[in-house]
Amino acid sequence: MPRSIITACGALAFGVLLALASLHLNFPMGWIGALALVTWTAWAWRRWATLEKTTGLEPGAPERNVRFYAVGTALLFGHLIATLAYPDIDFHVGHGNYLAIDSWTILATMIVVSFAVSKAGNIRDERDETIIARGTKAGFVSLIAGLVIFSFVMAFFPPVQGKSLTLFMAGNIQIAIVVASLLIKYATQLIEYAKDTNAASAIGPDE
Amino acid sequence: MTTLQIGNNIRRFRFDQAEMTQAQLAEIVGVTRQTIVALETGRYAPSLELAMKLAAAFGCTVDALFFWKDPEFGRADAQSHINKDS
Repeated sequence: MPRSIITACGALAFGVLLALASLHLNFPMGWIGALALVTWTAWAWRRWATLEKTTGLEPGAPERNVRFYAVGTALLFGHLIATLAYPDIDFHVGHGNYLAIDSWTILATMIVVSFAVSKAGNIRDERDETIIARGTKAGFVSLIAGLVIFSFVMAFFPPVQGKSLTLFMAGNIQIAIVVASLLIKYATQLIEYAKDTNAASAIGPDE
Repeated sequence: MTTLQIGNNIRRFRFDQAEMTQAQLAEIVGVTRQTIVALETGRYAPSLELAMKLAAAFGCTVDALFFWKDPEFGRADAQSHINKDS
């Protein structure tokens, strides 16, 4: 499994942990998520700068951007899905643990950092365009599938509305489906980039 | 993408041209260095436009730069057509 995918899975698990931790800690966990995202980005960019000078195995600018968005989206998705899975966690703004604000904090940080990230270079070539097209296709198909399944369940097997399922929650489930499709798009792109790169012969002649 | 039948001599041409680096070649043809890596390792087949740019950068033909890995590819088909026509 590509290392970039493992990192995204780690971010997803961290997002879940943040949401669960908010049950016990009276602290806005979104700030911890935001700090973790900024720290990872700074560390990754420094590491890639070192790789560029030493081995030449650093990812290109478009791949770096995809890695950043994959990690940020995974963190957000983990936080969102754990919040939706535990009805005890109050998701409403202005009540309980302010988890919606936590989600917005992570999203806002992701948007701010993305400006700095995109400044590092965003030149795409034909290979990047092909990979983006494959990712977009996977994301689109998963989005349609998710929404069709959700609509089917709501139409033919409607769950009983109550504390665990309100219209507010149903709306958030749709948002989770959209975020999941974005995550699938980025994961597909990362897998395609990993397939294209043979670390063993990135630099230096064979003959 | 991982089982391409198209091979290339980019690495050899690059070193024949005063040991041109991957970054230099990437700049000349207008792609990222990672794309040159993917091409040299046979993981990516370029568009015709990029193939012609690469050939122009080395001052050779596309034929000299790219080749089919399977020398028998298409020959059986072509032979059957020739036999049919005659």
